[in-house]
Amino acid sequence: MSTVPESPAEPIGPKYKEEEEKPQATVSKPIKHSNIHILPQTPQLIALLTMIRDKSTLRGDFIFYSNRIIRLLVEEGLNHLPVISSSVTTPIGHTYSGVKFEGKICGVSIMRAGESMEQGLRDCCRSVRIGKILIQRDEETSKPRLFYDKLPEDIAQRYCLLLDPMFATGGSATMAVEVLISKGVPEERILFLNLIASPEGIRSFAERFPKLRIVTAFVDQGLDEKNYIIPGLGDFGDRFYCI
Amino acid sequence: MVVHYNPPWANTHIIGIAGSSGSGKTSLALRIVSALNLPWVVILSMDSFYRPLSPEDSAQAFRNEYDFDSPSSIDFDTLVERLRDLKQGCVYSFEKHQRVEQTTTIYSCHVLILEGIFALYDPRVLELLDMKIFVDTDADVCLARRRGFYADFASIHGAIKQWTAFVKPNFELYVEPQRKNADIMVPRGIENSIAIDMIMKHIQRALLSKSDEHIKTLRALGQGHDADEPLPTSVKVLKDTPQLRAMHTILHDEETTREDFVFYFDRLATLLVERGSDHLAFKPKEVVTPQGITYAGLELSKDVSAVVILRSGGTLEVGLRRVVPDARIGRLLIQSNARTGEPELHYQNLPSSLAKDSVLVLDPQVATGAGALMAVTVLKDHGVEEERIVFVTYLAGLGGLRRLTKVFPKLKIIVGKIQEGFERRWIDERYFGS
Repeated sequence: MSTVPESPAEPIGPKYKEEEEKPQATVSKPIKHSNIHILPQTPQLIALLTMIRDKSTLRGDFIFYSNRIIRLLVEEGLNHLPVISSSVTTPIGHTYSGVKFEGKICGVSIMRAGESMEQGLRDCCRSVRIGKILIQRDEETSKPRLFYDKLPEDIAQRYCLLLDPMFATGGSATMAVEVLISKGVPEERILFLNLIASPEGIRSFAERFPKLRIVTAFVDQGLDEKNYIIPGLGDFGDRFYCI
Repeated sequence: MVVHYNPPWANTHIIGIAGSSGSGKTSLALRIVSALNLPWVVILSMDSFYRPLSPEDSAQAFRNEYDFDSPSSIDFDTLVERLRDLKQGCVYSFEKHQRVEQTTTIYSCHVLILEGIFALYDPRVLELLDMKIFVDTDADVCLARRRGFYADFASIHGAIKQWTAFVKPNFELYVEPQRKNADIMVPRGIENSIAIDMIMKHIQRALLSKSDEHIKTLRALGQGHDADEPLPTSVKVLKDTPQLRAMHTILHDEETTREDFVFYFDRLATLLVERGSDHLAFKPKEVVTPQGITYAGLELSKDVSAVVILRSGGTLEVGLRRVVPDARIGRLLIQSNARTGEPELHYQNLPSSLAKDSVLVLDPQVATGAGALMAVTVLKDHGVEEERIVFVTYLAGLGGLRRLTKVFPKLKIIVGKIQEGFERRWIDERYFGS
C-alpha cells in the first residue's frame, strides 16, 4: 500500500439537498492554480469516474463512460476560446444578439492513449483537424523520447487542444507542449485536456507553462513507486484499446 | 405555497346506459363514441364486472342454465370502486373479459360511458352518474338480436331456453324498474337519431365546460407572480458560457443550415441531459482500481427512464441516447388545441417500470407550461414521485417555469436558456424540417 495521503471525501449533490441527503464520495484534490480548471465535482461526474476506475468494468462500458467524461472536458475546454458578438434573425423574426466562434482550432493527440479522446472532440467539433504526436519512454534512459509528429501546416495560427487522458509525471505532455511551441504555437493558445492527473505533476506542469490552460476531470491522490496514478484507473490506452 | 392543478380528467363526466339484453346499448354507446371521435370519450362495459364463474357455474352456463341476467352476477362493489377511481382521474387497468387475457387501461378520459343491463341499478352507481339513459326496445326485437348473437356457438334452442328461463323474467323483475332512474328514455335504440343527437349535444356541452374550466385553472396558475422574483433552486439554467452563447446563436439564426442546426442541437441536448443526470438519485459505491486501491465513488441508485413529449420532445432523443443509451422511453402526445390553446393528451405509452425509476422528461420548449403541467401530472398519476422527475428543456419562459414550480415544487427543471416573452414552438420544425 502507498503512504500517499487520501483525497478528500465529502457529501456531493445539488445545493437544494440537505447535507445528510447527499451521498458521500471521494472528490478531486483542490489545486489552487489560476490555469488549472477542474470540472465541477457533480454526482454524475463522480459516478462516471467510478465506472471507469472499477477494474471489473468491461471494455465496452469503459469506452462509453470515458467518452462521456471526455465530451464534458471538451465542452469545458471550448469555453476558454474567444468569441465575438454577432446578431442574427430567428426563425420567428426576432433579433437575437449572440456571439460566434473566433479563430481556428485543432486537436493534437499524444499517441496512443490521447487518440481515444478524438471521438469526444469530434462529437463537439465536427470536422476538426487533428494532429498526432508519438512520444514513448526510452527503455534505456527511462526518459520520454519523441518518435513521430504529424501536425496541420498552419498549426501556428490555431488554438490547440492537446489530448492525453492520464497525467502522471507529465514527461510526455511537457515534451508535446515543447513540440507545439517549436512549431510556433503560442503557449496561451494551448489547452491541455486530461481525465485524471497527479497533484504534484499537474502543479509543476502548470508552473512551467503559466499561460497554458489545463482542464481536468479529477486530481487524484498521487503516484505510487512505479509512477502510476493512484487510485487511478490502470493503463488507459490498454483498457480502451486492448483489455 | 403549493398550488393544485386539476387536469381535465380530474372530474370525469360519467354517462350510464341501461336496457334489456339485446336492446342496442352497446351499439348506441359505440355510435356516440365514433361520432365524437375523441380519445377522451371512453366506453366501459359492465361485462367486465361479471363475478368469476365457479366450475359449477361454468357447467350451468354451458347448459344455458346460468343466469347472466340477474344483478347478482355483477360485482357491484368492484364496479363502484373503479368508477370512483376513474371519477378522480386514476389509472385503471382491467381484464376485458374474465376468460380473455388481454387487459385494457382506462386513463384520462373526460367522458366515460358505462354500458350494461344494470347500469342504472345500484344506488351507489347512480350517485356517480351525470346522465342516465335507458334504451327501450321491443322485447321481440331483443330476442331476435339475441338469437343472432348466440348463433355462433349455441343453438337457437339454447337462446330460447335462456330467454324464457332468465332473460324475460329478469327483465320484468330487475331491468325494467330501472326506467324510473333514467333521465332519458331512448325508444328503438340506435334507430332513434333524434335521441342520439340530443345525447351528443349533452356530451359536447360537458366537454366544452371541462375545457373552459381547464383553461381557467391554467390562467389562474399563471397569475400573482412578481416579475422580479428569482426562480426557485429547483430550476437549473445552464451556465452562461461563451461556447453556449455561440451555440444559442447558431440555433437561433434562421440562416443556419438544417445540417448545422441538427448537429448543434444534438450537442446542446447532450449537455442538457448530462446536466439533468446530476439531479438523479445516487448512492455510494466502492470500487477497486487496477492498481488495487479502493476508490469511494457513486453509482445511480435507480434505473433511468425517459418520457418524451411528442412531437417536439423527439429532438432531445439523440442527446438522451448519448448519455443513457439503454433508457426505457415512454411517449406522451400532448397538443395544444388550435382554437383554445388548451393542451390535450392524445396518446400515452409509458414503460411499466416507470414508477420505480428515475425519470427524465424531455420537451425542448416550455412557453405557458400547460403541456408540461399535464405531462408531470400524468407521470404522478402513474406512480412516479415528484422528486424523482427531472424535466429537461432547451428554451423556457419565466411564466411557464413559475407555473410549473408552483404546482410541483419538488420537480427539477433543467433549462438551456430562459426565453423572454412568448414564442410559439419552432425547434421541432427546424430539427425535423417539417
